[in-house]
Amino acid sequence: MTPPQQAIVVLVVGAIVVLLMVGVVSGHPLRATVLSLPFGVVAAVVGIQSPHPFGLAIVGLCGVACVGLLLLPVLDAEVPAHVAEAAALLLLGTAGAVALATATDLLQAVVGLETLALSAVILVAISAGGRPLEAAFKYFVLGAISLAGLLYGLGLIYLGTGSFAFPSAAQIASSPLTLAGVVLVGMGFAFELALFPFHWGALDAYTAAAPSLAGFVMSASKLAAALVLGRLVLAAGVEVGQLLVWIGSLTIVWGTFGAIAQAADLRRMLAYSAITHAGFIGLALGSGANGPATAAFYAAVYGSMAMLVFAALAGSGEPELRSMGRLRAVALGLGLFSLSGIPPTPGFWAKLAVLVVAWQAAGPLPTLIAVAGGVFSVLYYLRPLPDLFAAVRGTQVTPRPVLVPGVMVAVLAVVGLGLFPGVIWALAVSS
Amino acid sequence: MMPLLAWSWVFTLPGLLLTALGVPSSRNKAGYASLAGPPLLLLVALAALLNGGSYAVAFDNWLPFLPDGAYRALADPLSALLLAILGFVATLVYFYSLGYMATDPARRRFFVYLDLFVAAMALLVLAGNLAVLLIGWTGVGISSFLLISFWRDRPGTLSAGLQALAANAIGDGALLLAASIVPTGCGALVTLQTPRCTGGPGGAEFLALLLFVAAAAKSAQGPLYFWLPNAMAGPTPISALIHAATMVAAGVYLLVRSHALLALAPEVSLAIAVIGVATALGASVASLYQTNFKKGIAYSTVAQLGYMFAGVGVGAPFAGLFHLFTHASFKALLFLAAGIVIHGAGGRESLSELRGLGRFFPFSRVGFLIGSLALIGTPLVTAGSFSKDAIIDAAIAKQPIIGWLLLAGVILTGLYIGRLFSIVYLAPPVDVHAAHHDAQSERPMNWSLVPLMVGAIAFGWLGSWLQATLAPLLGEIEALPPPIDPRGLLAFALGAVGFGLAWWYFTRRAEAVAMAPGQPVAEGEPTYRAAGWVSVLADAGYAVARSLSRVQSGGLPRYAMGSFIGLALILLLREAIR
Repeated sequence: MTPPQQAIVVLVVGAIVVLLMVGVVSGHPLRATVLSLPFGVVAAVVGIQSPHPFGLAIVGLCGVACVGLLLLPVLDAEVPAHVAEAAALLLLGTAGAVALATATDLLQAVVGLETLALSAVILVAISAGGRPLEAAFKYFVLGAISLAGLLYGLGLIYLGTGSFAFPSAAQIASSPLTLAGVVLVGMGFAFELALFPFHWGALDAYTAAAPSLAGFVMSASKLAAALVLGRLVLAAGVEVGQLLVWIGSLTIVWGTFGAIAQAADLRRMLAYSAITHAGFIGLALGSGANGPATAAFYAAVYGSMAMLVFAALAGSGEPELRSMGRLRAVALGLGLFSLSGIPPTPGFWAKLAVLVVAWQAAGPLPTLIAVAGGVFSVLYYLRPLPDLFAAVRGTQVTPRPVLVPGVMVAVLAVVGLGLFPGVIWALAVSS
Repeated sequence: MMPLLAWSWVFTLPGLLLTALGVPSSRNKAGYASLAGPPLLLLVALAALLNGGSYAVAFDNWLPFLPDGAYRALADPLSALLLAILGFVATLVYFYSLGYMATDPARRRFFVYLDLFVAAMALLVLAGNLAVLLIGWTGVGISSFLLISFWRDRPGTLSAGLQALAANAIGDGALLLAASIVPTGCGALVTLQTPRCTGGPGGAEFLALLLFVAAAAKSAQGPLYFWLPNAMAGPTPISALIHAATMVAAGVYLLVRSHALLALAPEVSLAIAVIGVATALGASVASLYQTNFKKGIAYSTVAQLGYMFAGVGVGAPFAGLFHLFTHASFKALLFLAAGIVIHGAGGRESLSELRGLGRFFPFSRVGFLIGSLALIGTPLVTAGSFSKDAIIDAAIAKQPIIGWLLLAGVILTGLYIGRLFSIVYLAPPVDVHAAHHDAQSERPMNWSLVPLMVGAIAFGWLGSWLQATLAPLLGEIEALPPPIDPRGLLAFALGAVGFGLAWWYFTRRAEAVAMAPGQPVAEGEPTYRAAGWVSVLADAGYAVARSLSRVQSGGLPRYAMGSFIGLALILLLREAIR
């Protein structure tokens, strides 16, 4: 077995173990964390031996999952009954994401994508309340439509090329069937990445999910989809890439305007901003030979930032900025800085990397759109900061100790990536 | 000393950490841990400036995805001079803030933000390439935003902060673009003008244009002026340090640093000069219409930055830099002097409420007078005359129309500063009980004016020494005009006439505050509404944003339909653009 396969097996076994021991774990969030966390860590250790950028993706996905698992005790305060299920789904979803990210052919990609997507839907659905359930249902229905398209595209590709391998530029040029198939498959992946105009369901799901689960849903799907789309684009060549450039640019515009309108609703703003970041990934994917590596770098960085923000928000339904307490306020502030691309945070380096490849390969107009989307993001990301930092001094709410490990892991990831972005970059481009 | 100076941006970080962690814990000593940073910065910068030499730090391959991904810092006499200015003003402003913010409950946070600003500003000045410059450039913008919106509970402060963020974002975008598009291996600030680096698409012209846009946003020039007057929503020490002496001068610094690149782009240079002179004249007129004391001075800052831009634009970077140097002292003096009166009047800022109250604060009165005299360029006895004459002389020699316009503009300078001085410090007070003295917090405020008074009077004499020190860096430097110079005297005469007219008009007429009869005199809370074109754009932007986000209504059929329409839109767009 190759290292990615070993990692998948470890994760799936972990999910099964957690489900088998549901009687022991249910209602005891700390036990759920202690039981499931080793599987995430082992999968990362096993997976890092695979060639990069696969190794990078596996470590990133497992890291995101581990932070999610560390936050389970906080989830307990929100949805007491479902901690065991959440732990199992986090592991299973990660297995799907790893399969998707490291797919060697389209069939494996489809299986991985569906495992990830269904896990994500259920994770959204078990967040307490009617709103998450409704959002999960829409996410599921739209996902089903996109799956139908994806499978149809898969059939067309098989018809055109006779295999499930990623079709090459020559194969696409020779057969319009294959081209149509690639576009349909690409749309399926774009749905997972939440690119405009396939972002609708994701947006509502991101908004409604419990904060401790939303981070995983957003980061894992983006990272996995970025990698597999990258492979599709590298194989398919320039034509598909150009399409992605324009989809990415429009996504940035849509997400930016959407986020600017959400002055009062932090969760909704973060959901829209996830759309903007997907746009940056899409733009990078279409930007020439270095594009996919840059997109992987961006997605890995985005994962760390999103986990940080949602770890800081975890445990609060409607976040009250002024009473967050010191640790969470500082962590959330750092996460928002990084998401908006303030140097020297990793979000800034990732954005710069995208701009460089976009200017070289995608042309001036998409680059200008990306610059504008990047710099004006301060208008919505930094808007809560004056209130937030007032919380550092204000009425002190001592953070619940169970929150600390998850937040600290995310803080370390973001600070480390900010100081040494070159390390991850080297992994991303070393394919 | 230069190697130490190259790392001087870390000097305020220990203070930042200690203050943030609550050391010392006593509330009335909050911020004491931060006090050591700026004086240290001043001393090291002065020693480095006197010793000369230069020192470059380079860590290659820090950001391998950039055309120039090294960490580069450069300490040379130019950065040493800027850091000395920063250390000098910051030291006094920290000390002053102990009095001004004495009773503010969030005093600790105030000093943390201040430390953050000084560190970011020092990094900006020390940056050796565009990547590092971006860190400092954005960092000062963020700390400026946090400090403008510092009194979050007062109406309008968040809006004022967001305006600053928006304007800065335009400049940051230009710089971001510059850092991403230069050819591989380029990005060091001192080599941007080499043929290899100007060989990209657009050439030297485009690169210079990007730097100009970045500088104009930071220094509130041309249409991007709008945020600076509203930045007065922040505490007065901030107005003095960030929004008068140092951060807003960063644009001028960037242009001086890249003067060799500007020399390759004459059209851009001319645009800089034209924007500079237009801003100088427009902002001078606008200052006359302000009913808020601090906003009146803020427009004066915009105007003086216009003079510096005009100097750089006509090809006299040293003259612009020299004016930056003297302006830092006298404009900080004006703000800090104004702050004493505002503090004594319980935080009120409108001219009609402050009318006549200045006479109860002798330090403030003398300080403001010296600052005003330096602003209009009183020969021999103030620093402002030396540097302003240098700009006007150089401009007349190279672009006569711009030069004579700058000279004529001094009468406006005299008018607006005379108006502010007459209303606050000379006119009979309306209500003698409106001013309160608080000796304990006034003492540090009063004494921190003294070094600035010395600077506003004497720093002009350092001109020829500075010229000799900086000559190797700035290339060919035009000769400074003599201290007594016919054109300088003419400028001063115009300024004095303006000052006299303002004095005559505003002290005679008991209720005169507004310039135009019938102009509403704002009372009470100052407003920080955005200027005309900005609010139109912002309203349009928010309207688009709201209508777009209404599309995301929650209806499943609409989402499915939206996907198809969106897809059709993208395919159409692609066909249209191809």
